[in-house]
Amino acid sequence: MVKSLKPSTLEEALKMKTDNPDAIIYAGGSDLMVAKKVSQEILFINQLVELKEVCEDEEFLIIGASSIYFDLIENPLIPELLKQVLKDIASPAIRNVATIGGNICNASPAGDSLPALYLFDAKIIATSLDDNNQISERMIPIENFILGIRKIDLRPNEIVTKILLPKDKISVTTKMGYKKVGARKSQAISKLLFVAAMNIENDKVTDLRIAYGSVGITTLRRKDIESHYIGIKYNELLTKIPEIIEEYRECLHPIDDQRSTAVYRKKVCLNLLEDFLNECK
Amino acid sequence: MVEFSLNNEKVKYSGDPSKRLLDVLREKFLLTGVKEGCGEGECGACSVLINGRLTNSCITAIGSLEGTSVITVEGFKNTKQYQLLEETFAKAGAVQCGFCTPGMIMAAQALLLSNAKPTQEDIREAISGNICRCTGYNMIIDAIKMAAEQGEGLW
Amino acid sequence: MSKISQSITKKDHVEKMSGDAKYVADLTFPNMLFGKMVRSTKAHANIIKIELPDMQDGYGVVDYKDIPGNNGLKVIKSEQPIFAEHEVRFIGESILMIVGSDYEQLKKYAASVIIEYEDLPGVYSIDESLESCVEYQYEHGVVDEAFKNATDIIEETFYTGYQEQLYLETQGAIGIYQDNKVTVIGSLQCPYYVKDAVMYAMGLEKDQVQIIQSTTGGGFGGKEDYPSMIGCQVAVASKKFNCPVKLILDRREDIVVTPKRHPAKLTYKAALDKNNRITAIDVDIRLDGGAYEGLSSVVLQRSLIAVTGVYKIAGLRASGKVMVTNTVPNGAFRGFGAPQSFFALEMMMSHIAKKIGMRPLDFKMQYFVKQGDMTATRGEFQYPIVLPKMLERAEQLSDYSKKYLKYESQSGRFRKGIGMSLFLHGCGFTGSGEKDFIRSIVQLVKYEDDSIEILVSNTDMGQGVKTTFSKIVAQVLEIAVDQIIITNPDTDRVPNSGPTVASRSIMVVGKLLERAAKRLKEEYKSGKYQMIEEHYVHPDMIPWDIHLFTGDAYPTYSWGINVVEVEVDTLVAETKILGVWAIYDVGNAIDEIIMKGQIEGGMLQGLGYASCEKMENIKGTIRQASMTDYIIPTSKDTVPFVSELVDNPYEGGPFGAKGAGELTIIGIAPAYALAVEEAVEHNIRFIPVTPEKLMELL
Repeated sequence: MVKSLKPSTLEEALKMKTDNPDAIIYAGGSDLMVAKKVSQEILFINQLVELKEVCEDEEFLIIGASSIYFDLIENPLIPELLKQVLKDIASPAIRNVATIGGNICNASPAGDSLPALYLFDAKIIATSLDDNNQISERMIPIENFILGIRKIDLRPNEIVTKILLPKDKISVTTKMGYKKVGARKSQAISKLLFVAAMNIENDKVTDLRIAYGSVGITTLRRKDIESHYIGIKYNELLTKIPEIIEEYRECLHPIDDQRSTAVYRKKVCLNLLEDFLNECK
Repeated sequence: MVEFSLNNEKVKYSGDPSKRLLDVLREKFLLTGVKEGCGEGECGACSVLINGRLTNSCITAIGSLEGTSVITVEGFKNTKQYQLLEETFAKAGAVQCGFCTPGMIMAAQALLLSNAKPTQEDIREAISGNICRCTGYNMIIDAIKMAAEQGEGLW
Repeated sequence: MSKISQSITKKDHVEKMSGDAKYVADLTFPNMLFGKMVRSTKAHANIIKIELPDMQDGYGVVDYKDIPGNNGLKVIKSEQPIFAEHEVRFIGESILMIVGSDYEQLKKYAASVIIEYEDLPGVYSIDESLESCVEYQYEHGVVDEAFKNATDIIEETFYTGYQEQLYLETQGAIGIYQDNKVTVIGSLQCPYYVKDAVMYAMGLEKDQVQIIQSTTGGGFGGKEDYPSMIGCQVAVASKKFNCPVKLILDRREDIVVTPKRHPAKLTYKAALDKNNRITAIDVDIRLDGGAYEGLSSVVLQRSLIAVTGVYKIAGLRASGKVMVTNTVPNGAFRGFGAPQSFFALEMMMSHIAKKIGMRPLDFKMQYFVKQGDMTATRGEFQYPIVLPKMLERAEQLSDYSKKYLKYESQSGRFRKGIGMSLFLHGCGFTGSGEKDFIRSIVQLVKYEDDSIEILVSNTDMGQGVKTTFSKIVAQVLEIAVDQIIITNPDTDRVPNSGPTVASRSIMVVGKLLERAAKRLKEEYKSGKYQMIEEHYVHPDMIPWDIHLFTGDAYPTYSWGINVVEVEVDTLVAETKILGVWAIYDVGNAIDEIIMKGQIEGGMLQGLGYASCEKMENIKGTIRQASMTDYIIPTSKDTVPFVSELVDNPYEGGPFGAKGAGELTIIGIAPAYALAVEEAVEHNIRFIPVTPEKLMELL
């Protein structure tokens, strides 16, 4: 019979994970139960209040990994863009149990929270107990944490405990863009997801960030492309829009699947980008 | 072993902790108001309230429920709130084949518990995880709106 | 609206609300075992070898060798095996059943069965298909001459896709074999169809087979014939293991293996004279029937009969074929062939109009059929037609013509459009089925305590027949509806009043109940047991001849006009519905709210058919095989509908009522597509109009 591991503190949870490295972690359980993942041990962290705290320090907004979407949507500290994304995920019932840590660790190409987290340069904290049973934290930028489809840089004795959002990356910019394209208005797995941020100060582009979800193995974010256009005048950027579109056309490789087509996904991704870039006129 | 409250009564379950709450409710507790419409958290026919929040019991492992309060339609149906919903659902013609209905009722209750005066859009949003193939939803939305309007002091 | 139309609380309202209503999955019996089907993973192959896993005591297998009678599913013919013997013709075809006490263990055993196949060539679409299993052709008027002398010939080909019924309750049944008799309890629409099928497969007599309908969570036609398959399978299993056996399909299984709406390819060719009037139409319909014929012949019949819709066309040639493919056998879904035809017809008429410089409605109005006109199959529109009155009201409510003008040319990212469709639905069983096969019988029993029971084989699957039948009888007898008993049909207790299909329940069976109630009223003896039986009487009609394909295919018609207004976001090719208006003539509504439920539900199904319900079959594998992937509308994908009924009582129906269950899905797809067409200024010839396909047009 499947063994149930029910820690009452994070430390207990980490001990249990160390002793049961193959245990499945159950936070919200929605991805797990739909995929019918099986294991001999389940580590239930869904009731650990320590993992649901949202607070801030000087540098970061700190989000507990087991924070439930519903609670994040209600929390005034959470950036507006992330709230909008979370509101469009699945259904009310799922948003009542699903966790942001779960979405990240599931590492689905269609994980809806990921593009915004990439946009915010989120850092993942993977926690474990070291050889002296002390709590040890490893900070991994999200783009390095997610290695591929359902593949993450998480060791068998680790649990993701926090997501750190750098405060300078979540401040409101001149224009923020978000569009989730799904087959219907609720309960839709994204065909594609677009998030973007652009800041203009004294007619100059001081910030430009673009991320796409569901159109590749992982979220697409090209800081190198973005950097070409930071520091120039907005009017100049407007003239370079065809160039920018070309650069993204070349690096976007969506697929055909049961939900949509590569052609449609690419076209819409580029349409959304063009529309976004023009919007600050 | 997991202990929780089911329809306001303390219960225990000592079987497989990974078993779906849906199966435990239907098989062990003989509460068949929760239905399996899809088995993947997509249709809401298995909806229950856990600590007052709408949840799909088909994707909830029983082992995660320690100390929680689970309410099914069987536990809800003896309340005045349910009585009013029963009336307004009849008036508005919101029940056809009935398979989605217990789930819709739980979704309605979850909404009204947190928002006693919902707009049409609020209601549309609140039942957006409950699939209905028979009614086209509008009559269900009317029923819930009617209950909210008539239910002074109930929520 | 007459007095009867006033709504009441439905008879099964309370039990459904509270979760007390028992559907088949909720039922258990002592010593009951579960069944799990093992199905073909090949679209076309011979079975070479089957290797079963080692199973514990108490687990066993049921296959074709266990069938006591005939290994054939009796529908119209009996060509589909209950369990495949040597050949499989579609992915999902039943091969064997594992039976046992623990469902999780069963699933594991079923997944460990190893089958060796020899692949055979397969065809997977209408265009690839090499053979047809059904063909019909008919014509009236002058056709060849008309095309020869035509000033202009316009030809278009239309494609419609699958549609999955997606009733919330998946299919299932329990078989109980005891003392040389089998009882099947299941989620079904047609108890006597199941009875005939089980008798045939089990080799049993009439009094040895009992079918009981359990509370049914939606059907829409999807539970017209497939329950017979499940019924036979559990009957065989129950006999073999000498205990009750329960088989419930899980959702993915249900989507893959049960019959769907036939995908169709319809080619319309119109001959126009020098005045731009249609002198003749030639229609060719191909339906994808899947691997076995099932109900496809009747679907094709209805599809062919509907080809000219509400229009009077001087010359008509219509031919149709059901193509055989190695895909899931298709069957009944609300509309039964008519939605495909009305999509093609309404788009075609609008396209012709635009080509010759007329507005679609102005063009269509020239051809409106009138009372007394001949139908497409040389029958007669015997009864009053109130289409012009309906049109006036549709305009008043929706402002269709004004908006159509306004949206004729637009620019910018967001474009609006408005579309109107006009349609009819032949009420009742197509052709001479009522007279020749069904021969409906109803019984009305009055007990000594003067309570009344309705005994019919029609099933309530949400459409409310328990309530509407009771209202009819109560109104005639002038008693309270509460005094009437009507339970889920049990073939040991009820006569065969026919299947619950074809929008026939209220009009045909309700009429018989009305007559029975009238007779009971005349012969009423308080305190005495009385049983009144009424038999179907065929109305005066031009006889239907299936070989010549002529005559009155239906006793009468219900009518509808739908208007849909949309806004297309050209940046993402997504369409937002702005408004939906509908006017219907169903004679008279037996219950206003129940009728409104049929309107709201049917129309949203039709909007899904038109827009998001995409199902692709890739070499026999259904790509969208879950509730996650097969997209139907949620509450956020719709808007409030505006609908009205016009009175046009039909003497052949109870209190003037005609058929209504399917009418409400028939016409909405073209109304939607026409609206999108106006918005994007590009003719549309396919449904569903998904954003992916729409983007190609932009």
